[in-house]
Amino acid sequence: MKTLENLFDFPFNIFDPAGVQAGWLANLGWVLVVLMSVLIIGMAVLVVWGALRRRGRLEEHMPIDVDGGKGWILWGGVALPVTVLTSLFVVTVVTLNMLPGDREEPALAVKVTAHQWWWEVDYLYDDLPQRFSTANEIHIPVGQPVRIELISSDVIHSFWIPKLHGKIDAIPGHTNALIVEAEEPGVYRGECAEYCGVQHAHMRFVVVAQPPEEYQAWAARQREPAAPVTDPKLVKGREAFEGYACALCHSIRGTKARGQVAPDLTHFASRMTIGGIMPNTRARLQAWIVNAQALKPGVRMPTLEEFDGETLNALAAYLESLE
Amino acid sequence: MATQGSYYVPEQSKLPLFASLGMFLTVFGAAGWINGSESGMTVFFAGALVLASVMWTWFSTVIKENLAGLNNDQLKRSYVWGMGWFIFSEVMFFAAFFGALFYLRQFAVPWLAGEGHSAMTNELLWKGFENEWPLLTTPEQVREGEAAARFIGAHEPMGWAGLPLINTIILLTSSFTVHFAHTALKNANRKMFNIWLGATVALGIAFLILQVEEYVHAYEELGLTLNAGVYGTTFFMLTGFHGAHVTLGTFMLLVMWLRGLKGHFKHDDAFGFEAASWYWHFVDVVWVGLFIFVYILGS
Amino acid sequence: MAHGPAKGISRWLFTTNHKDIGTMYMWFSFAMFLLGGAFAMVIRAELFQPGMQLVEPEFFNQMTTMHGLVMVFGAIMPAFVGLANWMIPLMIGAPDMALPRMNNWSFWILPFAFLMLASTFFMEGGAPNFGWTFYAPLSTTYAPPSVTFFIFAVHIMGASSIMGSINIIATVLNMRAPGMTLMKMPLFVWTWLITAFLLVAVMPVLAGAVTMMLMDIHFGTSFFDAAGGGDPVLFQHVFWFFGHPEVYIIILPGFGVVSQVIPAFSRKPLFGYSSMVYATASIAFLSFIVWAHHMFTVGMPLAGELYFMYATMLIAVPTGVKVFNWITTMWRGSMTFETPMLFAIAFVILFTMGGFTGLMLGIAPSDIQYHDSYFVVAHFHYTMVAGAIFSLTAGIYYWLPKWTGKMYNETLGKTQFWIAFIGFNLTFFPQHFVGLAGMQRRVPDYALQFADFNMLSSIGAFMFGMSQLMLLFNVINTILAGKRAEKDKVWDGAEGLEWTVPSPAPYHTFSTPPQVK
Repeated sequence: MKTLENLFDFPFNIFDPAGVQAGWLANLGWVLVVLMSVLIIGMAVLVVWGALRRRGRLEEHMPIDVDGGKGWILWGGVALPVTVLTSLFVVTVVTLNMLPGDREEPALAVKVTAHQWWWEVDYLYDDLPQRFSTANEIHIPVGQPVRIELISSDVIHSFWIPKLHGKIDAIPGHTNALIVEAEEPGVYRGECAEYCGVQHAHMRFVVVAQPPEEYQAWAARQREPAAPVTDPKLVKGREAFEGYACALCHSIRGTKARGQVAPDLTHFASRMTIGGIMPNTRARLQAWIVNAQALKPGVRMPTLEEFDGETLNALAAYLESLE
Repeated sequence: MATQGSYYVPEQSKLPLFASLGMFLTVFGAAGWINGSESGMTVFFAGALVLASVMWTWFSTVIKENLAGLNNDQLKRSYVWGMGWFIFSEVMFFAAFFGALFYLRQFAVPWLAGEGHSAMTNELLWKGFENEWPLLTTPEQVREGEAAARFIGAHEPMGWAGLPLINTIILLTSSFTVHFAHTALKNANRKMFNIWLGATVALGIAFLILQVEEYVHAYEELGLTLNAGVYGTTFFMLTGFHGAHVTLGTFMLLVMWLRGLKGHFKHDDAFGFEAASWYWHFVDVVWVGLFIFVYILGS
Repeated sequence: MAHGPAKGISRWLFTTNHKDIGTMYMWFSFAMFLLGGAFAMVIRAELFQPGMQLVEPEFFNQMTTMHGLVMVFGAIMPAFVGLANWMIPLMIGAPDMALPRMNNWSFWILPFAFLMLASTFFMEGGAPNFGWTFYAPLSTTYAPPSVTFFIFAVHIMGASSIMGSINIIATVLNMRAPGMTLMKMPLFVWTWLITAFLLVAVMPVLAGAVTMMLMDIHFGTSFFDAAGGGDPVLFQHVFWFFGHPEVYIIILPGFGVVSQVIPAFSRKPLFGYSSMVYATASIAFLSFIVWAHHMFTVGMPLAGELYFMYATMLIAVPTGVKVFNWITTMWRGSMTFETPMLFAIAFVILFTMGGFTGLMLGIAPSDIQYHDSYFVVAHFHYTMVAGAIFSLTAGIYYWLPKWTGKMYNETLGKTQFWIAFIGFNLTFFPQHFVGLAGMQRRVPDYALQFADFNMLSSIGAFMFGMSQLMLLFNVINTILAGKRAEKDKVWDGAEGLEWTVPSPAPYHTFSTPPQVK
């Protein structure tokens, strides 16, 4: 049995913040947890003490003492809550004021579109050719505030990276925004926090916070279209991708695949996960292509059993080549 | 059984169970019907028939009990409280829709147009959409164009000066006539009671006819429909539910009128009529709210 | 009026007697409690281990949705209405409820409504799967076809609640025995009067919310669709305008029960009676102006967040008054600890805890970290289960001798209390931690590190479920084989008119109103 310590020793513990905003929230959280624990224990002790005090022998009821105790109500029932609440309110207002970020407008804006049950990520550089799109994985430079513009294409989702910031809902037809700033490089887990249907539990993503140079290199590679392939096996894979149902939904820039409803796979091999839920390995990829429904029931990706083994191998090899 | 002065507790009754059954069949049928099931409509009408006949029996029973002198003053006060709180619950039902109108008009539409903290909503999703009320061009129309949009705004808003103003006068008048009927009854002037109450019913029917005409005008000439975005949505939901309540109120008053003709009600014992008249005043007050918030401020 | 109940099934089908109707409400709600509990067991069994084992995620989602709906609308609310039916006329010296036939109508709607809701399991697309809060557009554009049946079921449940509440208000305001002034009424009657007012005020708003859904789904309106100028968040505003008073509808009668039980076993009058009344009324008032604290993550303007946050915090003041009143009532009393008292004391401790976690959730910036996590699940089960269910159980044990004329088995009752108490805390206490550690609610699968705590939760849930079967057994055993209650006033510290009538309470009581001094 793991200890309490282990429970929290994971990449989405809100009390181990890795970002500026989450840091403020964690401080507030500690204040609250400690204060509430003290109050809860204090009240429980008081109730039990009140209950046990003078149990008396029932045969000889002592005269009932109905007077007194008004002080308790005034101090405990009114004065204490008002004091605690007012000080909490002050702490909270201070935190709230800091949250939106009081520095200048962030240099980097990322549009995140929540879909049932994946995340589309568009980097909104002012210069159009600089823009690119990816899925279920957000890279951000460490030490720089990044503005997340959040929208939804279907139902309400909620965007949550526990170690970087609190939740904000993605509401269809409206936008919400969040400014996050990672303080340490690392991979942080994100999840959907508003119940959104069958695969709500598996609507996950990762945030990769990198030193700015690394981030720039990553972004530069993402901007490139997919590298042309020459190896016959990879060519077969690409043709399969373009010829079968894949291309109806997915796009790979630089090929004929231009589907718009599913994740952009131009640099699929550079991503850490498949479907946001499992490590990106060859075996899992093949399983996913053939029977995504078994791995993430209800996912919009259909079951594709029409491939023969050779085509499937080629397809997977091609996708694995999309660095 | 109850004696004079003690509270009348009725014996066993089959009414509640069958009323529940009727209600269940009605809504189960309605849900099926709306979902496109073939038997739904039949079940709905069967249920409505059961419910209506139970209600008929129920009210007849209560009237007979009252005529038999079983209802003491305390029981009558229970009916008064019952009707009063029922009307309060109706007020809260309308409050939900008035609240929705307020929210949509004051917040949702301006936000879609980029006001307040929502500049990016307009920029990223509904570029070109502008805040206006009544909302005649829906966000979808701006983004997808006329042809592809499901929600197409009205060509022009419903004005307040024509039919709505006439309807306002009609309803306000009817509130007075029903009050005159009440006064006449209290003075034991049955003839004037029948006349004033009959006039109220006639005004209620006139209101409903004009309301139908207004809807036809909205659909045929103004392009104002349920699909016309939030303006059409709030317009029809508020006026529609109000119309449904006027229908019910008119029906109640009609029944009271017929009972009056049969010689029911005494000058100091006319709860059925009084309850219907309170309901009528409530319906009237809602209309005044509608006239201000939907018609005048919405055109 | 002199004669007793009719024979056979027609006694129950056609009754107008408040005791019969109260009994039917109680049994119906217990049946629903077992049904909702069975759904909870499916949920906890699936969550026993990470990964998907027993059920499909789609079915799991139907389970979480129906568990919430059945427990809130089918178990807790009707159970308290049952208590109200039984006890209010007895407590205020009335011969029956004010409108006896309507009373039976409001009961009989419920079995039909839940039949309708349960029938959705057998429909194409399955039962409602959009959560008991049914946020649009998941519950509109993306809902299974059974949503239409759900909407109408909610409509008639609402009709039932409104009629039941009108009846209670009319009874309390109009049927009190001579001398029973408002400020002499037992606190249970006061809390129910205020609850009934809340119900009449907010059930129509829920009806409005589901009507808007119906219109959006089937008739082309755009309340919740931005394409037509609407806003999905509007749904949440309307829903929570109903939903927040709803949580007080669920807990206020529980406050009432506890305020009867604690004085009885402390052998002292309730401390600060009038402050309790005013505190209850203040809580009810505040419940209308705090709804958006359930929505801090939707992206509200800052002013809105501050307002809803501060208004929410204010609720702690009247609640604090209440808790200190209970403590002061016990203070230096001649205490004994029979089963009802144990449940009442556990209620005070655990509900207070639920209140404090609620305060943490009511603070906007911390809420955005805890919102929709298992911390919320833990919080509201401390108020719903340790609040409503524990107080109901206390009420059942407290009044069971009055209803049946027989004593329940005290040992079994105390055993049940300890199993329920431990089971409850084992289920929900760990959920605070998994919530703070980042586990979202309404998930059939979770990350590996939550495994141990979830396993504890599941074990606790099975324990708690078992303890409820013990309650059922104890009640049935009392009815069939209980020892006769020796005195009409079963508890020597109990006060109130209900203890002046024989045990079991005769079919008709107070046909001639008593005089209250």
